[in-house]
Amino acid sequence: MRYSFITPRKKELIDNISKMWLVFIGFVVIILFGFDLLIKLKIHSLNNQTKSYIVQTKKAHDISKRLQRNIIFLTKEKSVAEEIFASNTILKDSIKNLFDLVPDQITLKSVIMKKDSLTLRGISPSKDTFNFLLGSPLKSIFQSSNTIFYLNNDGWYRFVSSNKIIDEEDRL
Amino acid sequence: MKNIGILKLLIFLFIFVFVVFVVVFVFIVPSIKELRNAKISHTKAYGRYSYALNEQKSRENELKKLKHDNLKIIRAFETNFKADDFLKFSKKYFKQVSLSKEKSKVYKKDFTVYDFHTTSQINEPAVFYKFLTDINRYDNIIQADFPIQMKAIKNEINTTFKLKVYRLKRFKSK
Repeated sequence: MRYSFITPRKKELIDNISKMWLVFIGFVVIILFGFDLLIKLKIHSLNNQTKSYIVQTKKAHDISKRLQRNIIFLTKEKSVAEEIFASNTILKDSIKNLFDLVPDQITLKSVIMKKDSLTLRGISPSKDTFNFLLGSPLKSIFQSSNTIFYLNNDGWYRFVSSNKIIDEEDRL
Repeated sequence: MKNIGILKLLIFLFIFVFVVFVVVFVFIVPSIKELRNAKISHTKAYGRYSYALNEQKSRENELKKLKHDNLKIIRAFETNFKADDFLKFSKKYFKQVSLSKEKSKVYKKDFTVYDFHTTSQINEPAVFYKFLTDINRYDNIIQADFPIQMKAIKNEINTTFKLKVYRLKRFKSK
């Protein structure tokens, strides 16, 4: 038995407009979560790079420290070598200055040079020749200067001149 | 019927705004804050890394220059002292020369010094000056030292002096 002239329409739980709204809201939510995911991926990538920089910074610091130790060591080698070269040059100049100091009238027979003393042995025509030409310069260089003369048969004098540098600390 | 449509529209609009609000403030805003902090940390870490790298490069250059400028000294400290070679070198200056090893000691923690007693004969002091000049160019680091004794015998001068040969401690003498 029919009560209506038209066939009943199928009634849906959610109508089309509501479906569109729900799809739209769902779509927007998915886009927002996608955006959030992109941010999270970027953060992850940045954190990884930061960690890598921290590790590389530590490595660079370690290498720098090792290089600095090498630089200090090489500088030490250089300064020791330069000290030695300077010492050889000073020694040469000291010997040269000593022989330049000796006048032609005086003949040296032996020279003993120590760090703080100089002993000269030789012959001089007279005491005065020695004292004026060699004794005076020696006295101006060394704090203590003593000379002993021995008369030779030929009238010349053999001399032994002992000269010493007295350390300031020893004086006190 | 129309009233129901407008109400539905308002309800969905409200739901939309609410959902967007929740997602933005619960998820996206904290993420953006985290991103900002991560960027700050990244910039600081990169700054420190750049500084450390520059420092490393500057030290590398300094060391390279130091090595290049002092190559001879570095090699001389590492070269083993050969008495025969030194005697050959000395004979250019002295008529007769002999070398006797005395002792060795540690110098400034990293170096070993070998003492030698040297006896030689020269014609004139100028030869000795030349020797003392040229010794600075020898393959080893050598120091001529006190006591120096020069004695005139006939036309020659007998000279005895001390020689100190310096070598790096980590290179053992053969």
